[in-house]
Amino acid sequence: MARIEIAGLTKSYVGRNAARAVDAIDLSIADGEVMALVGPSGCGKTTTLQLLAGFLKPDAGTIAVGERVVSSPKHVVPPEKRRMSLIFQSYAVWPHMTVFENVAYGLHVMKLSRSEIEDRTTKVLQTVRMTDLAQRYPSELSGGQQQRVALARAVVVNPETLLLDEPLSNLDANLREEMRFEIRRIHDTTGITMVYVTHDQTEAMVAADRIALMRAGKIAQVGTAHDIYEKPASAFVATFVGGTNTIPATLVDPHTVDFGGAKLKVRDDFDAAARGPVTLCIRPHEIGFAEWTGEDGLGYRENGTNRLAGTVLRQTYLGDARDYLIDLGGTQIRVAAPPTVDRTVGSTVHLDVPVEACRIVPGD
Amino acid sequence: MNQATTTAPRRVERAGSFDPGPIFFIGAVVVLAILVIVPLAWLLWISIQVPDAGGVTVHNYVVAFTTSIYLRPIVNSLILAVSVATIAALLGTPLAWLISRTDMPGRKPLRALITAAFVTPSFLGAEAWILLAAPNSGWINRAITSFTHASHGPLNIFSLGGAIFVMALYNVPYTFTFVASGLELLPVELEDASSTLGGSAWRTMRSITLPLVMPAIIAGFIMSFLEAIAEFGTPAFLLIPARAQVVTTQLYLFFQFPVRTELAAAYAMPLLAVTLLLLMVQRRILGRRKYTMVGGKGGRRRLVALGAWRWPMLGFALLVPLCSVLLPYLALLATSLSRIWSAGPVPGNLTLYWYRWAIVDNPETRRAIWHSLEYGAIAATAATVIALLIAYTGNRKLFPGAQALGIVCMAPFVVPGIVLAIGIYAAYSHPPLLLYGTAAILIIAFTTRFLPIAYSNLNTMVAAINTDLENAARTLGATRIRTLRTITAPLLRRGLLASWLLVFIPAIRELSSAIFLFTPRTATMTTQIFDFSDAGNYEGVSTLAILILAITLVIVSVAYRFLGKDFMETKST
Repeated sequence: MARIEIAGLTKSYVGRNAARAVDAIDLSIADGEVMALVGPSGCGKTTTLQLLAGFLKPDAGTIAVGERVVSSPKHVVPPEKRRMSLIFQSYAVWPHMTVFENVAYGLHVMKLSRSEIEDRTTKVLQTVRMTDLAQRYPSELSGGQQQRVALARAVVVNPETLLLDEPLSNLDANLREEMRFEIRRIHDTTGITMVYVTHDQTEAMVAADRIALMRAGKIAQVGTAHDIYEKPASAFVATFVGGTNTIPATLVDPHTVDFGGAKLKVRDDFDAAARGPVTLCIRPHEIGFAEWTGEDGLGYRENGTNRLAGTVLRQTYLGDARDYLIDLGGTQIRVAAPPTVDRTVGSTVHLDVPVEACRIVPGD
Repeated sequence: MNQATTTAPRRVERAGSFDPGPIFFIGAVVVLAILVIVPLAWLLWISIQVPDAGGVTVHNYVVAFTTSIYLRPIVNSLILAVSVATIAALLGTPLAWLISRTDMPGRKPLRALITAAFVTPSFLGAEAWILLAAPNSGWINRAITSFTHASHGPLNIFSLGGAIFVMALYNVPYTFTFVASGLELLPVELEDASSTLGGSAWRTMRSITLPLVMPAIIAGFIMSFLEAIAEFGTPAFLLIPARAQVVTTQLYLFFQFPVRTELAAAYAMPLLAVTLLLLMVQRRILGRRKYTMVGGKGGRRRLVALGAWRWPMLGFALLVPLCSVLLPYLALLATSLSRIWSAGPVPGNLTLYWYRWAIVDNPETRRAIWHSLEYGAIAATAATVIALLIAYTGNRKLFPGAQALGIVCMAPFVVPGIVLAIGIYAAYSHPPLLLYGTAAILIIAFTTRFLPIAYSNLNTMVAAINTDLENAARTLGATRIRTLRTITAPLLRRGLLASWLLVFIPAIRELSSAIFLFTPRTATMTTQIFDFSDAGNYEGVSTLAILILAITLVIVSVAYRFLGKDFMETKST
């Protein structure tokens, strides 16, 4: 079956920017799983996909599908023999063929009988709701319709694996939402293994079972959307997924950090054997403004919150929220407050952060 | 992907599904070697061979460039080429200005006439001018002598001056095209800036417009120079009878009995060197020209009002098309329709006899017409297929260094037809590939000679195809060659058709390489024209000439309709 095992996969591009596009990555994708490769542009996610599809030859490492090694530095099974379909960012719908001909192409290559080609094409066009447009040419279709043709064309051949390269990035926001669920639906009806490349974390969260977050050719973290959001392994992960404030602090005991003299309690899920500099991650919407009572001290308080003090540098009214930029004695953080909370620029404010919202990752 | 390393294990893995892809691409490389590398290598090699004995020598070069009877043609060639290029530039530049920047009447038909001159082979023009200005029998001379009652007409086309005149006419389109497109891109503000500063129209033209289009004029000059120095047909028709040889006719004479291939090869080298050098110079100039045109916008612009000069200027502008298209076509047409050309196109002498003779009755011309079309079609097909495979191989980097194949494809561009023919003759007139006397050697010559046109055309088009379109087919199970056949080629169909036509058109009128390689069994329309001209059968010459022109004009106008006006552009750049 289509269990994919990537081990030590490395690919460098020669030339001026001779960097390692993919740097010794390991990743296993279970049969029937949807794995998203997410990361900023240039992180190596598309190169990984090209390696998976067999368009590139690795410099080191292997890719195995089931028991069969399909890519190694010595030997690459060509794309046409891998039983992997690829959906392209550009759709790559052939302009010289009708919708029907586009979808039937792979079946012709398989040398199926005319009636079977007819049957399967018709059926898949129904699935993607393109039956009425079967005789159109791609130039007569909208972007979303072209994307559905690409999807139908890729799944009609019953591939073991479906690779998707930024499939929705050329669509407008509404269509993108619709297609995200469409892709998920196709997965749920076929049970096909999918590898989904995107730079959009929301897309990854909707479509994927697990997410592999990539940075500079390496995998930063693999896990479910919940894992990655709740337990980011690094400041990069926390910043990329959901957005966060990163605050340099010092770990003084497993549950406590020191930030500018104030002792803050943090979540107990970072096993820092060595004490010392760490990064405190707090998401902007988890910070609340406190009413100043005059007597309360800064730092951890008995009600389960940490209190910080700062100065408002800037605030922006956004309708459904107010976006604050606050200076905490040299460290600037963003706070997303309800629109009713209105503090003037320059005023001193106190902020409460629940211990649950204070995550620490290795400092850098 | 590396084809070489992936093929072997794949075969082990699935013994039944052998992918024949690599064979096509390797095949294209082998064919490319046969077409380009072997002839050029033989040309160099044979130029340092001792005739009939073997062994390496510089003797051929010494004989070629120290013997006085061989030096005279070199001087003549230089006089010819410099004069042709100068006259063509002097006529083409004002013509370009009048047609693209002024309100002179009849600009559109004039442009069409200049395009007609562009697609007319100059050797057909030479034939026509023999009819018009041969010393005794030429119609213009006879018209003049009927007034003056002199024994000779004043014009003699069989002279260096005559050859310069005819070749200059057909080279005007080069300067014209370069300068006209330059003027059309020139920002009108540059000229306005000068006139607002009080510059007169004349001063603006001299100090702003002319310097800005100078690179285009020089590029046109170089192009004409190269055409003139490598041209065989016109000198052969006009200068061999005049016994004033140029390099190309001298090369032809080396191939008359006794054949001196080694000497010819050595003698051809300066032609190769000068072409290579000047094309590099031209490339630099045209490259810089682009830079000067940055910010230029075509389209709507004010035209210079000529006022009272409009009609005199039209008179001047009509001179070139009159001499290069109207009079020659008329002369050829009238002759082809006359039972005896010297009697003139008068009632009673008019007939379709010669067309019937050429197409139906005379097996010699019938075969020649068929050969031209057949060889042209095969060469066009071969050049298109090879160019596609090589462009694809290079663009998709099928193996390391694949892009270098593109340079090999373009190499024949710097080789004059006559030099290429000597190389092909030298390479394939002996075992292991004894092709002399077969159709194959002519097809090889045509394919090689026009391969650069097909390649440069297709290379840009292959590069423009999004590889996702091909990769999509690969992931659906199509092999590389199936993808090329079902996705890439159909996407390129306009480009493939354009390439085919751009090779076919010059191939059916190719004379300079055919003349060295044909035998009576493989004669084409052009070699037949050469033979008829030699024998004085001008009715036959004219009929074949009209047929060639008709085929060309039909194809060009059909292509214009289906492929758009810009399909000829690649030819001139």
